[in-house]
Amino acid sequence: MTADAHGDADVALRVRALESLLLEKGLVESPAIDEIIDLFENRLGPQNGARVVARAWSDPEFKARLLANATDAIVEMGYEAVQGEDMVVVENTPRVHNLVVCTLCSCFPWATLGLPPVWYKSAPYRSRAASDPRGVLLEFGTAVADEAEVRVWDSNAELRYMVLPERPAGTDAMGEDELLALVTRDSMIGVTRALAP
Amino acid sequence: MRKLLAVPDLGMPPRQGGAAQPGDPQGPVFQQPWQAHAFAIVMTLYENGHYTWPDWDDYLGHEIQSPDHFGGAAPAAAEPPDNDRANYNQFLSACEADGENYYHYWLAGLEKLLDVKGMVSAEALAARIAAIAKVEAAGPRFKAGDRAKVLDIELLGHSHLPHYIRGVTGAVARDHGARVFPDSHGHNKTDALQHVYTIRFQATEIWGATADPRQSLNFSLWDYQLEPS
Repeated sequence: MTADAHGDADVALRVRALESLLLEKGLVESPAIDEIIDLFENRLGPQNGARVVARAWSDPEFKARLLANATDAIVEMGYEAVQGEDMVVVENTPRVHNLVVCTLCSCFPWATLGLPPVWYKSAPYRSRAASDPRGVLLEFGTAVADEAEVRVWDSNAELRYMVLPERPAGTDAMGEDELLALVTRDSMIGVTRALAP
Repeated sequence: MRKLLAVPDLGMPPRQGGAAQPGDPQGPVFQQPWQAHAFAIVMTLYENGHYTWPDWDDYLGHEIQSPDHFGGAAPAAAEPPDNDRANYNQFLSACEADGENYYHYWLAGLEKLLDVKGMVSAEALAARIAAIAKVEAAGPRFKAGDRAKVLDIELLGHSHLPHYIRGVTGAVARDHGARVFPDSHGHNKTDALQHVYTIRFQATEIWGATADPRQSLNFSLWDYQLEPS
């Protein structure tokens, strides 16, 4: 952690003070706070998105449903939207590389990817993903073919995007459980590709 | 009976054994416990219907977009693009140095939203912060085993002090930590936060030598009701 303007001790005190007032007024309850922390610490994360991707790679009918109506297809996998947001899944192909950003703030598909990484929320990424996506992709080690289109998706509070990465070559014999290990968080944001087997 | 409210300790529940790994391979989901609590407060108030998600998004977006927060600094300069790992790491550290402020924006947005919605005013928050800082700087006056005498006082609006223990000295059995004083909104005679102690009196200390020596009476008492003995 770098030093910041307030200092963590001071900020922690502000949060405790705020939480104690809200508890006192009955506006929040301690078990609900603990439940949400547990949900985001332990149960939501890219392992959920990886299951969606591995299934889409293995099951063409599911993939069709996922691309047509991602919200329903993801609920079908058991991952409910946290704030009622709708999901859109966009597919990477040799001709189109998709990249997700939220230039306004930090919107992110929580149900499938958990909370965003620190860099996703930063000004350099938010501004440069929109203005120079090929440059950003190169910095993530991802070269996109000259003739391919880079499609940048700017998220908002109502619609969240997730990338369906290309299935890596040489994985035809692999089942869903093996494929899972190849799907990274970054590949579902679109800054990298899925891992090679 | 009214619940005694403790000031949250911001501890995080332990990870469940066998649960899936948290989302960020580069580090924990929350870097500090306060970030987890600031996050969970926003989510809980939303789930309890106190605002819509777009409402909240406006406040968070306003904080993130505010030029003050970036000190007018331009984003990190674009490096000549190549596949060099070092270059990637440099880009990521520029991003992370900036993104680390994220939960400060989150908290700032929450404070403003609660103030505007009339749920927690800026003044009430400042007063509570001062009260917690004060009680923590002072620390507890008593520890288990100390002797404490109950003051003979009558406090308007809060009369949970039985007459028969006033002026009696007992033993401190336990410090329950700082608690929110229930009636502190109603009058200014006590601090909003005080330590609460279990005080144990032998029946003989209250009723005299004829009482059963095998009996004790136990009370939870506020710091302001006690003096060292």
